[in-house]
Amino acid sequence: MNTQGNISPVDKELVERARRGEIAAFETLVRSHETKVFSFALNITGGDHELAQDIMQDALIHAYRGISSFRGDCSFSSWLWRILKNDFLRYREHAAFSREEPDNRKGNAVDDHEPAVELAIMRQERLLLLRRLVAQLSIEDQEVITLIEFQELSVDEVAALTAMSIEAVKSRLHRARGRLTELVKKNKNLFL
Amino acid sequence: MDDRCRQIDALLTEAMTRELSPEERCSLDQHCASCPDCAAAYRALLTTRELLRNHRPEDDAPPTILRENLHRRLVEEQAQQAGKRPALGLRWKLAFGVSVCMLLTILGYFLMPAFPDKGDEGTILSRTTVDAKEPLTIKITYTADRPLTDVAVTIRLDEGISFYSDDEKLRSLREYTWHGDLRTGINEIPFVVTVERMGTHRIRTEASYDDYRHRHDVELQAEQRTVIVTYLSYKKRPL
Repeated sequence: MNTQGNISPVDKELVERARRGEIAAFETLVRSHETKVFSFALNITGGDHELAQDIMQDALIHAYRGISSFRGDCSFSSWLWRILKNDFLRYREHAAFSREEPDNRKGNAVDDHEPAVELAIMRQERLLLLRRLVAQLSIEDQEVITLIEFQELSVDEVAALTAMSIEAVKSRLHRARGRLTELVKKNKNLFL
Repeated sequence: MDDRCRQIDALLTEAMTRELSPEERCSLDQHCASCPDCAAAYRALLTTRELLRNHRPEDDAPPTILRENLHRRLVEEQAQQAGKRPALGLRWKLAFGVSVCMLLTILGYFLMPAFPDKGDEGTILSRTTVDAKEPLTIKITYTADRPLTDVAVTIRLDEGISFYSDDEKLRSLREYTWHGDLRTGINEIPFVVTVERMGTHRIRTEASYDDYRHRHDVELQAEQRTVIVTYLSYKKRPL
C-alpha cells in the first residue's frame, strides 16, 4: 500500500498506461487502493452499502475521465479520496434539496425506534450503528477516523496520505475521537 | 448529572484513547455499580472500542460486483470517448484524408502479405485468474451504439483448448461461427472452453458487421492450478 505523499513508481506507470486508455491498468491501480477508499465511502454514507457502492463507482468513473489531470503530486489514494469526497458532498446537497433519500442517508440523528437498532445484538448491526454515528462527524473528522480506526494507518501514514502535518493529524484525531465519544455517550442506549 | 458523574464522564472520554490506570478503573467500576446512566455510557464506549479493535482493514473491501460493474462502465466509457473525438474543419479533413490515403497506399504495398492486424498488439481489457480445474466461461463483449443485424462472430481455438460440451462433435470443433443480431448497448456472446494442457493458448474471435471486422482475443496462460485469462481488443478494421 502506498501511503507516500507522492505517487509510487508502480502507480506512476499504471497511471501512464491508464491515460493511454488501458482499462486493465486503471483497474489494477484501483485494486491497490480500493479498500481504503471503500472504507471511507462506507463511513460517510453511515454504512449504507448500496449507496457507498454507487458513490464509489461514480467516483472511479470520474477518476478515469480525469486521469490526464492527475499530476502525480499526491498518492493515487489521496486523489481518489478527494474525488469521492466531492462526489459525496454534491450527492448530499442534491439529496437534501430533492428530499428523495431516507433520513439515515442524510446523517441525521439516529432514530431510537429503528427496529434494526433495537435488535442490535450482532456485531455487524453494532458496526452499522457506529458507522451511522461516524457519518454525523464532519467530513474531515470522518477522514481521520476512517484511516486510523478503520484502516489502521499510523499518524505518519495519514499525514503523508492527506498532505497534512503530523501535528495537524494528531490534533484532528484527538478532536474527532472526542466528538465520536460524545456521540456514543449520547446514543448509549442503542448499544445495550 | 452530579459532580461525581461529571468526573466519571471525563474519565470515560479518556478511556476511549488510552488504557486507564487500575485506580481509575476501580473508581469507574465503583461509580458505575450505583449509577445506571454512567454504566450504560461505559458499556457503549467499551462496545465501540471492541468493535474498532476487532475491525480489520480488509473487512471494508468492496464487493466483487463493484469491480464487475466498474469494468462494464469503463468499457462503455471508452466506447463513448472514442465516438466523441472532436470534429476537424473541412480543409483539415481533406488534408488529413489525402495524407491517410497516401500513407495507406504505401503501407499496404509493404504489409499486404502479412497478417492484417500486424502492428496492433491489442489493448488489454481485463485480466483475471481462475481455477484450472473448472471449465472456463468466456464472454466476448460488444458495445453497440445502435442495433446491428446479421452479425457473424467467428471463434477459433488454438491447440490445447476445446469447446466444453456433452456433444462430441462440438468438442472436436476448432472453429465456430455465431450468427445473430446485436442490440444497442452491451452484448455478451458467452461460450465455455476447457484447457487441456499447460502453456499459453489463444482464442481468436472476429466479428463481422457493416463491412467491418472487429477482433477480440482471449489469451489463456494455463499453469498447474490456475489459468490467467486476458481479454484483448484490436482496432476495428474494414473487411
